[in-house]
Amino acid sequence: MQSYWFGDVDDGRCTLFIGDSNAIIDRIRSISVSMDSFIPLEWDQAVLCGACSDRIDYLARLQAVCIADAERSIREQYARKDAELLQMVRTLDEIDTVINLLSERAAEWYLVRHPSFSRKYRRTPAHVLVKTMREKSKGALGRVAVEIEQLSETRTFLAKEVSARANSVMPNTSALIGGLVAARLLSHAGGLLLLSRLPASAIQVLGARTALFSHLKTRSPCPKHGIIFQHRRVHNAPRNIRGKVARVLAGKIAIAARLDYFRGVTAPDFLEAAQERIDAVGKRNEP
Amino acid sequence: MIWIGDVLLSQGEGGVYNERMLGGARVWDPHRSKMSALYHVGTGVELKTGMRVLYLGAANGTTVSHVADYVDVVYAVEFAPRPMQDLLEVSRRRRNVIPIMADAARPNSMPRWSKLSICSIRMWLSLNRQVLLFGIVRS
Repeated sequence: MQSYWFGDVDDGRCTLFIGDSNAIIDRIRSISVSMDSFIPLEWDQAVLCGACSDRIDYLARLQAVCIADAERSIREQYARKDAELLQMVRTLDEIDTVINLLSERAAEWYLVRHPSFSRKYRRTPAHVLVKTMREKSKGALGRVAVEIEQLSETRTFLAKEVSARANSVMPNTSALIGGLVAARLLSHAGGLLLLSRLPASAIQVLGARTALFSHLKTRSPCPKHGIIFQHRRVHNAPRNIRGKVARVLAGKIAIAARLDYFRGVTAPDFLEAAQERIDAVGKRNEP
Repeated sequence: MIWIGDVLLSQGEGGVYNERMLGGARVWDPHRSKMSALYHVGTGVELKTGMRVLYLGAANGTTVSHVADYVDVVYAVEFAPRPMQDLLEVSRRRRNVIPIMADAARPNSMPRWSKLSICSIRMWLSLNRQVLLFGIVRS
């Protein structure tokens, strides 16, 4: 018996498959025959079976089935929990870039309007400067400052959502290095599956692409850390053991990512042991 | 292939990707489509009306839409969901584009499609049918 998308054919007799598009897709996905025994289908056979009236009708029906199947596949892929987190964290990083660019440009503009103004010897954080620019500027510059402030608000809001989402999508990794950093790792790897497949050595330098390739091509020293530098244990560590801390942390993240992908729930025992191990790295080296 | 001067054209419904129209036909831009570029340097395979094309790596359906203007039917295989969304939009408007969401690198891993009588390359070649393989291979 040969199974085709519209039905089964057995010794010239065929049985049409009847059902709605969901049932048809389920059936197609369940069919599996080895290629050696497979007899290719001619479209007129489908006509003989009564699946369609002519070639145009045959193509139209086949297309409808294929489109429905592709739509379902897309929906299934997008329904994975990390798909949206990926977009969220990338948007977040892009908003950061935009805010920085805009506020730098607005500050330059503001300097031209106020020749006596200087940022030297002042510790004005960027957002305070934007606020003064909004209050003291008329016209378009003031509006730009307003936009920057609103964008910053959106950024804060989004950052919270990213953190919360990361906690639910990758509970173990988030518990180790914090939601935001975990989400950034995810975005660089391209998804939870891909992250969980990465070796620890790759996770360690994720986000340090330029340095890594310049190391591979030339004789420059290899990067010790990429995104995981944002973890306090790494950037607070003394320079000489930073690489070591990063290596240990990356190892634990690799395990955590696999736990997240295959289990999807917190593993308290692992987290405790991992935290202890990470905290221990620095101490062992102290004189 | 339809040429006006040195502009390559295809006959079909326009507006797929805001392509230019010339005398009611769609301009097939060599800067947007590698396959068109092939014809412009003179090495492309002549597309004929009766052909059935298996197109691997269909992506967003830009090139696919032009191929579909020339041939009988295009089975467009694409793996990634994002470009597939665009490809689906193209196939909804063209009755001879059949979108297939599968990994073209592993035809044996898509049993459901090889059963559709359309998708195994081996099968196509073994039957010696008229087929044009145009895979845009990424890296």
